[in-house]
Amino acid sequence: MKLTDEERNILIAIVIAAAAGLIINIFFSYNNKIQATESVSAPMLININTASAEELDRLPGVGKVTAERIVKLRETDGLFTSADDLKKIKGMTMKKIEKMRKYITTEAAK
Amino acid sequence: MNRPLFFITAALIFGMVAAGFTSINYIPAFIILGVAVTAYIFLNKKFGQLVFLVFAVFGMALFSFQDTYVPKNDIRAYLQGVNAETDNKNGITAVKVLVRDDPEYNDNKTLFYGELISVFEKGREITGISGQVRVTLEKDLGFKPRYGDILYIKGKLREPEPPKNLGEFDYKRYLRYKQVFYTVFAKDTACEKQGSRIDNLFKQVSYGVKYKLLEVIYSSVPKAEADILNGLMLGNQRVIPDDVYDRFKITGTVHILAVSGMNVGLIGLFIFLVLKVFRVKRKAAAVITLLFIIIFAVITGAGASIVRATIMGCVVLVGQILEKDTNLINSLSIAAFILLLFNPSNLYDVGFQLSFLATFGIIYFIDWVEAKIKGMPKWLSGTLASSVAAQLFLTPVMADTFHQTSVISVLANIFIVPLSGMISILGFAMWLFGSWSAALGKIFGASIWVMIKFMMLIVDTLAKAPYAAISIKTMPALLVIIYYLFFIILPYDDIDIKLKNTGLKTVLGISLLICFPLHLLLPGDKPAFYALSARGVNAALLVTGDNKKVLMLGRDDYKNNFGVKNTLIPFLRYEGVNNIDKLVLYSVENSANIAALKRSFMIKGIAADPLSFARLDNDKGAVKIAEDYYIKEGSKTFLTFSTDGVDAAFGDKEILFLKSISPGIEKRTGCVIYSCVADKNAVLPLAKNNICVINSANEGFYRKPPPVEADNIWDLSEKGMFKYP
Repeated sequence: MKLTDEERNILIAIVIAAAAGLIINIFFSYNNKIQATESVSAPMLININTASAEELDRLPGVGKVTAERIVKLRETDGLFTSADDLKKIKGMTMKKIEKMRKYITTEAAK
Repeated sequence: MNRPLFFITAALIFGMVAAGFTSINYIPAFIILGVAVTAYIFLNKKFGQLVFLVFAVFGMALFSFQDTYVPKNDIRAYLQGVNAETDNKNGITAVKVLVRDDPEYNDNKTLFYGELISVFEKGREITGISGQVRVTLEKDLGFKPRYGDILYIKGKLREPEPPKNLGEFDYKRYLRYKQVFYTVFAKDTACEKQGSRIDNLFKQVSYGVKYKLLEVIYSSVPKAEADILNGLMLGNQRVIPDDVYDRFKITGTVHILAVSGMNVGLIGLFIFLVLKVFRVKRKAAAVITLLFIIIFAVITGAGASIVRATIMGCVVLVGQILEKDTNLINSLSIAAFILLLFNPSNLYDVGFQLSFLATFGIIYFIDWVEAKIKGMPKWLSGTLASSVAAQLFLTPVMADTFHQTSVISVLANIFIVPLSGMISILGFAMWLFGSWSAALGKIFGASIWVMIKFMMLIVDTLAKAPYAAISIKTMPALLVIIYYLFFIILPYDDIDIKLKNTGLKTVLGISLLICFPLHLLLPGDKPAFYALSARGVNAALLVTGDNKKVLMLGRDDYKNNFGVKNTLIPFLRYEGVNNIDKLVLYSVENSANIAALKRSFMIKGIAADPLSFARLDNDKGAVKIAEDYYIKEGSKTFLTFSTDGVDAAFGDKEILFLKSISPGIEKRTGCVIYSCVADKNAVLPLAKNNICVINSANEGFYRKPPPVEADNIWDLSEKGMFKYP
C-alpha cells in the first residue's frame, strides 16, 4: 500500500487526534460537557398534570377557558391518569382528546 | 478549440441572459431558433459561429419556456385572475402536501418544500392541483415532519411579498428561481400527518444516513460546537446562532459553513484513503467514492454549490475509471450546463453565481497569483492564492447581493480554511468510528471540540477588528465590465490598443484604480429621513446635512430580531453605511438587536432611555436619556433627545421620532412624525397637520391588525419604506 505524502499526513493527524481525544476524555471530564440533546424524532410533550393554563392553551382544541378548567379539575379531583380523564371537562369531546393525545403526557409531578 | 464545453456553456448562458432582458415567449423563441439555424446554414459556413448561435438561441428558448409556460393543472393556472395579494382573497384555507425533501429545523421553525396534492376552498377539497409551496411551521409542540410525509396543513396560501425596503432580500424572486410561487405559514398544531409516499428510495436512504450522522455528531461533541460542526460538514446553517454566523460573515469565512467543493474534495480524499488501507483497487475505489459523494450531495440538500462540486468530482472520478485526463474548465462547464439545463433560473441564483465564479476564479487565477508569492510553504501559498483569486472574482457579486465585503478575508482564510479542512477530516473519522461505538466517536469528538474552540477564537478575534467588513454599494455596470476585463487579461501580455503607447491592461488598470476607490469612498447620500418597514422593531435613519448618520430604534419585540437582522442591517449595507454617528434607543429590550448593530457597524455614540440603557454592555460613552438635553450635530441639523423621542430640525421641516405621544404633540404642525405607538386613535389627531408614519404590524408578529387608512398617515406595513424628501 503506497501512500502519497498527503495521505500519510492525514493518517498521522488522525492518530494524533485520537490520542489527544483519549487524553481529554480521561482527564477532563469530557462526558459531562456533552449535554443530553433532543432526540431527532421525539416531539415535546405537555404534561397535563404539571402544565400551567398558559402551556395547556397551546394544545390543539384547547382555549384559555378550557385550559383554566383543566387546572381547576386537577386541583379539585387530583392528577390525571390518562388523556381520557379530560372527558370530565365541560366542552371536551373524544374527538378533541384524540387530536391532542400525541402532544400530552400524564407523568406524575415529582 | 481545446475547451469546447466552455464555449458551448458560454453560448447557452449568453442566450439565457438575453432572454432575461426581454420578455419573449418560448414559442417565438423556438421559431427564431429554427429560422436562425436555417439561415445560418445557407449563408455562413463557419462551424464555430454556428454552434455558438445554436446554443445561444437554445438557451434563450429554454429560459423563456421556463419563465412563461404554466402547466394546465398548476396552482398558478387555478388561481389565475384572482388577486392573491391581500389576505385570503384566493379562498384557500388549507392544503395537502407531500414533503419533497428533508425539512430544516431550528429552535423556532420547521421549513420545507412541499408538492401540492390538493387544496381546500370553502370546505371543499380540490384535487389534481400541482405545484410547489414553501411551508413554514412555527414550532409550538415540536411536531417534526419527514421526507415523504403527506400533510394536511390548515393555513392560507399566499404569494410571497416583494421587498418593502431598499437592500432587503427579495424572497419572492428567490423562490421564483426555484419554481416556487406560493407559501404556507402555520403553527405546527395546525398540521396533521395523513400518510406517506416515498417517490425516491435513494433520497430516503440518504436522509436515513443523515440522521445517523447527526446523532453521531450530537452524541460526540458538546452542543455549541456540534452546531458549528453540523454547519461545517452538512451545511446546516440554521442551527448556528446569529452572532456566530455574523462573525463568520464579517471575516469572509462564512463559505466554510456552506457545503461546496472543499467538502466534496475532502470526502473523496478520506474515502480513497480508507479504501486504500483496505487495499481496494483504484477503479473500484473511484466507483465507491462516486457513490458516496452523490449521497453526500443528496443529504446536504443538493444546492447549486454542492451539485456543481459533485458533478466536477464525478467527472474527475470517471476520468480515473476510464484512465483519461480531465480539464477543470471543461468539468466546470459540464456542471454549469447540466444545472442550467434542469433549471435555467439557476443562472440568477446567488448560490450558483458565487459558487461558479469563485471556482472559475480559482482555476483561472491561482497559478498566476502563486507565481507572485514565491518563497512560502506550498500549503500557505496555495491557500493564500485561492483566497485572493476567489475574493477578486466575487467582489462585484458580493457588492450587488450582500452590499458587504470582508477586508480581512484573505488573512482570516489563511487560518480558517486549513483548520476547517482538518476538522472535516476528523469529522469523517468520527462518523466512521462513532457509527460502531459511541466511545470511539467521543474520542475524536474531543479533539474536534478543541479545534473548533480554537477556530472560534480566531474568528472572534478577527471579527472585532475595526472595519473588518465594510459596506459596499452595488457597482455600476460599466465598472463591473472594466473590473472583470482587467482581471481576465491580467495574467497575459498587454494588448496594444494604439493609444499613446499604452496597452489595454494599463488603461483598464488605471481606470479601476481611480473608479473603484471613488465608488467605495464617495458619500452618495443627500440629507434624508428613512423609516423602515421592519418586523418587530421601529427603525428610522436620519442622514444629516453634514452626512452624519443617526439611527433610531424604538419598542422592539424582545422575542425576535427578525427586523434588525433581515431588514435594517441589509438596508444600512445597501446604503453603504459603515459608521453610525449616533445610535438612539427607546424601549429596546432585545439586547441581540443592539449586539447585531455593534458587530456590523462602527457606532460612535449611543443615547438610550433607561430601559434600553440597562441592555447595554457597559458601553463607554453611552448616554442615558433621563431628562431633556440638547446636542448640536453640525451646523445644518439640530437634534434634541428627550424621554419621549428625538426632535430634529431638518431644513424647513422638523422630524420627530416618538417613543410615546405626550400631550401637546398634536399642536405641532408641518412635521414628519414617526410614532412607535401604532394606535390609530392616538395617531389620527397628529395626522391633521403633519405627515405621520407608523408600523401597524409591530403589534403582533403574525397577527396583523387592519391597516390604518387615513390621509397623511403612512403605514409602513402596508406601503413599505418611507423616505423624506
